[in-house]
Order: sequence, then C-alpha cells, then structure tokens
Amino acid sequence: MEIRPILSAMWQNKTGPVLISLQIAFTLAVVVNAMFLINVRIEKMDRPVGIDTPNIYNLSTVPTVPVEGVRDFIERDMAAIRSIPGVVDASPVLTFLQGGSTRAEGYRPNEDLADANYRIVNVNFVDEHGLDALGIELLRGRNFRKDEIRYLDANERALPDVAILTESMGRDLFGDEDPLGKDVYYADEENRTMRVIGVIKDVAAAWLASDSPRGRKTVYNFMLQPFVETKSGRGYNYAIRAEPGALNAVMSEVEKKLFEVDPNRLIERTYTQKELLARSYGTDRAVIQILSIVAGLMVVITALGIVGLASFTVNQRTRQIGTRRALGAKRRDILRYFITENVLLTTFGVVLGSFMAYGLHLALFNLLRIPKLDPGYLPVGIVVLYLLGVLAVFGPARRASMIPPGIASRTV
Amino acid sequence: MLKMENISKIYRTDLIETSALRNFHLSVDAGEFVAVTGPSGSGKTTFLNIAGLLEQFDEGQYELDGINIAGLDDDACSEIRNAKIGFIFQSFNLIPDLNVFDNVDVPLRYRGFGGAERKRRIERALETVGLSGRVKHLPSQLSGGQQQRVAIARALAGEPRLLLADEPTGNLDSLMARQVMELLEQINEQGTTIIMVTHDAELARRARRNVHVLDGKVDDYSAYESRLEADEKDARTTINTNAE
Amino acid sequence: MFAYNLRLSWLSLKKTPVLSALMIAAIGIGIGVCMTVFIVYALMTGDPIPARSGHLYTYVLDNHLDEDRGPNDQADPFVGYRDVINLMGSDIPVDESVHYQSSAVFHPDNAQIKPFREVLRLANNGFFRLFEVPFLYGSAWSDEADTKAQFVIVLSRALNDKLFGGVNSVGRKVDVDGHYFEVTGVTDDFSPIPRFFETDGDVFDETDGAYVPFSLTPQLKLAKSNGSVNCIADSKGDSWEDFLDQECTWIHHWVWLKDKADRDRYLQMLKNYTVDQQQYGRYQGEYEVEIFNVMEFLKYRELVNPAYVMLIGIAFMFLVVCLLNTNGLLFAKFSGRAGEISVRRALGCSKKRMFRQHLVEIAVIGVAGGVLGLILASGGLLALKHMFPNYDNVAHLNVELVSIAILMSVVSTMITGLYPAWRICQLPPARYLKAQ
Repeated sequence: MEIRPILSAMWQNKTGPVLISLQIAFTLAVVVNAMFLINVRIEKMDRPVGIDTPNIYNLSTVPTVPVEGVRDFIERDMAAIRSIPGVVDASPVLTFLQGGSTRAEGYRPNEDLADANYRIVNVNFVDEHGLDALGIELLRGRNFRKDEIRYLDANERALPDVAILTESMGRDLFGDEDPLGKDVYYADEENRTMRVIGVIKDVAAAWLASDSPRGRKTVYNFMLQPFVETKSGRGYNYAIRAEPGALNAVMSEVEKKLFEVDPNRLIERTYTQKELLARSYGTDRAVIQILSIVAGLMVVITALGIVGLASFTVNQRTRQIGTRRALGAKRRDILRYFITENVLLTTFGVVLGSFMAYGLHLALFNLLRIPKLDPGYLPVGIVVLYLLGVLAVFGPARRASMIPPGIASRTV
Repeated sequence: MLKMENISKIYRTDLIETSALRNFHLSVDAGEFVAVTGPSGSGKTTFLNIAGLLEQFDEGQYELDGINIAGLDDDACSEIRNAKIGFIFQSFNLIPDLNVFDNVDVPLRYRGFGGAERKRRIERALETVGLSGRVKHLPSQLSGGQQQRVAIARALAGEPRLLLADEPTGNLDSLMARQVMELLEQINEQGTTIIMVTHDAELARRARRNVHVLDGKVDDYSAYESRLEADEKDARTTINTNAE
Repeated sequence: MFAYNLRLSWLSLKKTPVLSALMIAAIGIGIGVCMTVFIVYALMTGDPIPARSGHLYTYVLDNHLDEDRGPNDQADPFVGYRDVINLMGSDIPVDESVHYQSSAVFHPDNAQIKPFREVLRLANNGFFRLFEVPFLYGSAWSDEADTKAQFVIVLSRALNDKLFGGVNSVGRKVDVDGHYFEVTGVTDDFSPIPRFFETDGDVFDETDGAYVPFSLTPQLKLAKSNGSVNCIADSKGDSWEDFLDQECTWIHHWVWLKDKADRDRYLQMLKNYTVDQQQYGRYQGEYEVEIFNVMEFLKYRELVNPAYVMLIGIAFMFLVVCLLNTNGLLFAKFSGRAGEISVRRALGCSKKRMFRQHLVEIAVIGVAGGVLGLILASGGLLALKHMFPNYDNVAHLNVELVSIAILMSVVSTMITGLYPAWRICQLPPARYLKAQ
C-alpha cells in the first residue's frame, strides 16, 4: 500500500523511528543469542548421565566411637540396607557420583610415558553391587566378583587387578578397538596395569558441568574399581537405589535401620542424586534463569517503548488523522497506516539486528568457546519481534482509528 | 525606544527563499502606542518576532532602548526579553499546568528576584488587571478574557519598557476585547510603549499611530515619518482603506 | 532556581503520568538488572583483601604432575607436606600461613547436643594475622602452641554459639575426635569473597568452623576434605606417615612479602630449593616454579566463570535498550511541550537555562529510576539467594553499591537525555507562539 508516503513522513520526523528501530535491533540481537545460549545449556543438562538419577540417594556415615574392623561396620550396614523392602541395591562408593568432590587420575593405553598419552579419568570405587546400586548398564564383559573387592585405606594408592570403564573412556584410550580384555596403565612410571573386564554405558564424570574444552571432551571418562575405602576423614559414602517411587520411604527407613545396627554414629550429607545433579548444574541454571528474565524483560521494555511512542505520535497527529478521515479514510485505513509504519520500523530493526546478533554471537563464541550459532534461531527471533511490534502498536492504532473526522475542523 | 533600519529577513528552505521583511524601517518613541496592520503574510509577525528578539534578522540595524541588537547571543537576547519586553499573544499562551500566580511568576523567576519581591510584583500586576482574587486558579478555569488579562499581568510584572501584543483580542468576544483594549490603553498612559499587531480596524484606530505593512515593508514611508497628531484623521483614512 | 526547576520537573512528571512511569520503569528495570548482575560479578572478581592483596603471595611448585592436572588444565597451587616443612620459617617473608581444611566430629559436653561434624582447619597462627581474621573473644594461639603442637583451638562465632551459647569460652575445653582442646579465642564473622586463601573445593561456600595448630597434622591424621590432593603414585606404604612423605600436593602456603625485591628473592629461594632437592631424586625433568599475589592468583585459578562475563555484556545491552527506550520517550515528552518552551523562551528564559531545567528534570527521572532499580536489584539478589543458597555470602547491598546504582542511573539517564534536551532547546521560540 502507501509505503512511500509513510516512509517520507518518517523521514521528516526521524528520531523516534530511529530509536525504536535501534531498540528492536538490540533486542533481536540479545533475544536470538539468549535463546541459543539457553538451548546450549538445556542440551548440556539433558545429556544422559548414565545412572538411575531419580531413584538414587547418597549418605555418609561415620562411627562416633572408634570401631575396630571398619570392614565389618560397612558390611553390616550394607546387609541392613539391602534387606529393606523397596531398596533395589546399595554399594559403598569412594565419592558421591556427579556430586562435586571427586578423584581424577591419569591412565595410558600403553607403556609410552609421554605426557600426551595420559587420559584424565574420573575414578570411583564400588563393591560387587555397584552396577546395580547405581543403575549402570553393563554393555559387554562382566561385573566385579565378590572375591575381587578389596577393603583399603584411604591413603593407600593401591591398584586393582581389574576395572570397568565406559564406552567413551574405552574409545579415548583405544580408539575403535574393543577395550574389553585390554590392560590400562596407571599414571606412574612403574607401568602398573589393570585389566578391563567390563564395558558400561557412558556415565558422566563429576566435572559434567565443566565448560572448559578439556572438561567437555572428557565428560564420559569414567572408571569403576573394585575397592571399598575403610579409612576416611569424612566417613563412609553409600549410594542407595530405591524402586521407582519408593525413594522417600526408603530414605527414612534406611536411617532408622542404620541407627539400629549401630547407634553411635553420624549420618550426614544425605543427598538425593537429583539434588547433586542440580547442584552440579547450579551455574547453568542460574545462567538460564537470568538470561530468560533479561531477554523477557527486554522484549517487554521494547514493547512498552513502541506503545509509548505510538501513543505519542497518535496524539500529535490527532488533527492530521481527523483530516484524513474527513478526506474519506476508513477506520481500517488509519489502523493499517500505523501498523504498516510499525512493520517498516521492525524491518529496519531486524535487518540491523541480524548483523548485531551475529556480531554478539562472535563475541560470545570467543568468550565462552560455545558451539556455532544455529542459524534457525534468527527467523524465530524475527517473527517474535514482528508479532511483538504489531501487538504493541495495535492499541494506539485502534485509538487513532477512533478519532472522529470532525476533529479536523475544530481548534485544539 | 525602538529603531529598525533596513531590516531584512529571508526564510530559506531547500527549494525556495521567501523574503519576509525587506528593507524594513520603523522607529518608535518611548511612550507611543503603535498599531501594526497588514494582510496575512505581509510580514507583521516576522516584524514582531524580530522586534521581540525571538528571531534573528539577516541584514540591517536594530536598536532597542539604546542597545544595538545585531550580533547579541542567546543569553543576552533572553535577558533583554526578560527585563525590557512584555509579550501578549492572541492565544494567551499561558502555561496550562501552572496556576495564575505561578504563570505571572515565570518571567520573574528568570529575572532572579527574591521571593518577597516576586510576590509583591505578582500581586500588583494582578491587581492592575483586576484578577487579585484568582491567584490559585488554573488557566483552564478562567474565561478567555481573564486568561488574556493574566497574560497581560505576566507581561507587566517585569515592568517592561516595551509591550508587544500580537492580535491580543483575536480570540475574544467584543465585550472582552474592549476590556482588554482599555487595559492596554491604561498601561500605555502610565508610560509603557506598546506595539500591537492586529487585523482589527477598530482596534487599530484606537492606537495613537498606525503602521501598515505590505510585502515585508512599511507601506507608506511618509506615514512612518509623519506625526499622527498633526493630521490624525487624514492619515487614518488613508491607511484604513488598505486594511482588511 | 534549582528548587524552581525541581518543582517544574515534578509538575511535568505529573502531567504525563504514563510516559513518566514508563521512563522510570525502563530505567529502573535496566539499572535493576545491571546492578544484580554487576553485584554478583563485582563480588566474585573483587579484591577480597584490598589492603594487603599486593603483598600476599602463594606459589606453585609443580613437581612434574602434568598427568594429574585434572579437568582445569593447570597445576594446582598446593604444596606437599615435606616442602612446606622445609620452606616454612624462611626469613624473607614478614609473616606466613600454612593451612588446609579438614573436618572432625565434635562431642559436646552437653549431652543434649548429639555429636556433629564440623569443618576444622589446621593452620599456624600466622593464618589469623595474614588474612586479618577478626576476633570476638581471646586471640589466636601462641607461637609456642605452634612449635610445641599443643592442643588448642579457635572457634568460629557460629560454633561458639552452638557449643557454649555464645558466651566467652576462652579457657574452656572442647572434645574433638576424642582429643581435648583448650579454646584460646573465638573469631568474629570472617568471610572474604571469594575465599582466595583456599581455592579448591567450593570457594563461595561457608567459612570455617574451628582452627587447630597445623603442627598437629602428623598426630591428628586428619585428611584434607573439600579439595584436591594431587599425588604421584608410588609404592610406599599406606600409613598417614607414608602419605605425608609422599609426592602429594595439598597444603596451602601463603607468604607476606614486603616489596617486589622480596618477591624476587623469595622466588629465587624457591628455585634454589628445587635444585637443592634434586639430590634426593625430586624435581627431575621439567618442572614449574611460579609465584602469585592475590589478584594474580585469582586470575590464574580462573575463579570467575566466563558465563558471568557474558551476563555482564548482556545486562549492559539490556541497559542500552532501556536507555534507548527512555530516549525515545523523552523526545516524545519534550516535543509535546514545544508550546510551553516557546512561551518561556519569550518570557526571557535563555537556551542555557532551558537546557538546565530539562537536565534537572532528567536527573529527577534518573534518581527515581535508580531508586526503583535498587528495589528491583534487592529483589533480584533475594531471588538469587533463594535459588542458589551458596550465593548467600555473595549477594548483599551496601552503601557503596547503593551509591553506584543511583550514580549509574543518573549518569546514564543524563547521557540519554542530553540530546533530546539539547534538541528541544534549539526550537526557535517564535514558531509555537502564534495561535495553534
């Protein structure tokens, strides 16, 4: 329709339109990048973690009166926990899985001592119930046997004869070859080895929230060793898996039962696996929430700006609109005039904004080393802003269309 | 009091140049009451704007109350407007958000008077225009004639040497117009020079001297030179034939 | 005149309530969002101990531990027990602190309170001096307690409240893991952010529960908790003594150096030490010796997630949009009053004066926006605390931040408003005086 006269009218009074277009441009740049960043993090948080997170909980316990035979203490606890109805299985662990504190060690696929040959691995200890207690799926090979489990001192750097590792860890060490039955070398110069007896589906390492390239690359480097620690400054850590829906009941039952077994103890740091995972992703959630709020507010502010300026122009042009009406413009012509004007402004804004969005993305890319922007977000953002503009201008435009033609001849 | 010689003012846009005033001459003595008449577009308003230091001129000499105006900066112009000139507009131009008292107060604020001095002047000016009882009213609560009287009070409060009136009765009915005119005459009698731009022949007739502007010039150069009291009736008829 | 301008501003704001509210809301929200993000960022990147950060140093003796560097890609700045024992007592530093965090079970005398675990830091008394730990009661233990490894303890305020109901407990005894310790002092709240003196574990976490002499380390056999221990594996025995003797790094050692010259001397001393240690078969091959002051150290540890830098950028762009918005609304508002401006100009108000009047009005909007922004920022911080309990120590407003917010609001609004105000004052006064 009447685009040229609208353009020239805007040109006459350019400050307002320029400001609105700039606002739309900035908003587009931020909204597109925010959507992208949010999605990157959601995808990160949605990655499989390899364990039965919703049904696992962890606790740490320590006798307050020194006990002789920690092994007995732990075995008694385990037997008691496993006998509780609703408990699928339980196992002592070195550290809570995916819960902050951890053990990271270096391993090699061969005797070559070159630095580049080491792979960083998240090591955890379990007994023969470990796979079951964590809900880890064994792909090939076998689980630990009871006779392979050793109870050892916390400070001991003993190595097991056998280990179970994830598929990704196997690939990191041996490439396409099947790691099953191979020896892996511990990170010392004595070439001590252990044999891979089982390959499990990928389990995320404790640093699963890390954004560093190395952390991201090694996120599934995870290994289980058939050990139970018997001397710890912070008590003994248990992982307990309940049947679906039974977790809460199991948690209180376990506590009761453990005090029955030995009343002179502390039970502390009881965390559901869900809590631990949420804590690991704390920063990611913070970023998602802050970004959503900021992007949402930005859209609101821009809409308010459009409403404010449009209302103002309508007020200023009251007579002009009256004149147009007097000259035969219909209500919907007036409506259409303002909406067309807004669509033109949005067009300027999104053209500029697309470049800015790309620029901002490059800056973020350098800063955060995030993956390249999926160009699909841009059209979504553009559509959102067009809709926003039309919605925002609709109110003032409707008001304008209500102006009676008689106003033209009246003195204001 | 006011002396303009060879004043020219040209409005330029991208396409055309319009000459609003060309070699405009006018001299007004202290205490005069001059009516400036002329058809639409003749340059009356441009003259008034230049006389009131609201616009710059392109060429010529303009002396107001012994001050050479050419080349004065905005600050100096504002100061002269504030201290020496009072304006009265056709549409009153009161500030709608301020009550009567505060409207009259506006120029005094810029003058930098203390609170007591301002109050004294405002009350006196409002008394002169007969509106002492309405200080708290907003402009919208007053009739047109009252609004114009507030505007006159606002112009008077600073005790200006020169009062510039642009169609002061244009928006008023005849009764109110007469009251305003009487007020202006009364002010003039007390010694304030008044220059009034008007379409209204009757009003112009009541002024002590008439100047007719046409195409940016004073129409009858001799009329500008001559003194009205010498040949009052003749002069008036000559000029009024040209008035609308 | 200022008062008059203020009054005019108030009238003007009142006249267009919706426009004014929109402007104030836009600035308020912009400032609120910026402040919230900025406060979190500033506190995380700020200098935790400004008076002394240039003089406190820690160092890395990287005994060829590359393979154990973990996912962070850098050597951990901890020292092994053997090295700490050898390096302590050098005459170069003014003072020094060795410490590590562990935890132990406290057995209150009061049978009503069940035994509980609490953070226990093993430190020398230099720790309290170096990091300016404030004391509520008593003081740190004596040098003699350090050298003779006496069973003395300093409690945190919270722990003292729990054990002794908050009374002065100096001289009382506390049972920790079956040992009786005598209280020598109670610290007041002490929470430098970030907890730079120990950057492994959760650096924005709570502070310590209690402190006992570092010289008790061999006796107490308390392993480090909430942090990393990096070891080169060897086949020595598995007792605590063997562990202390092992090539493991886990202890924090900070030294207070007078000036640059002393820093260089200390670094040289460290280098000489590693060379000297080579005769025992240590520090073979390539290794790294580095020294950092507090801020260098925080940078080295990359304590601040780059995501926060990104948020700062986004928050800034958000503010820009809010200001553009305000800018447009100011234009609209100002051009709506061309008539009044012309009248005032005719009545003798100069351009400068007119400009000043508008600036006052803009500043009023800025202050109002700043106040709204502060309210929103405190709301934002509350929300942060609520969502992420470990931000508790980080997120709080103080006088400085309040003034920054108001100043930021006023300055940014003024910058935004300069152009509209200038433009409106350029209007030729005559144009709007004729009958409209």
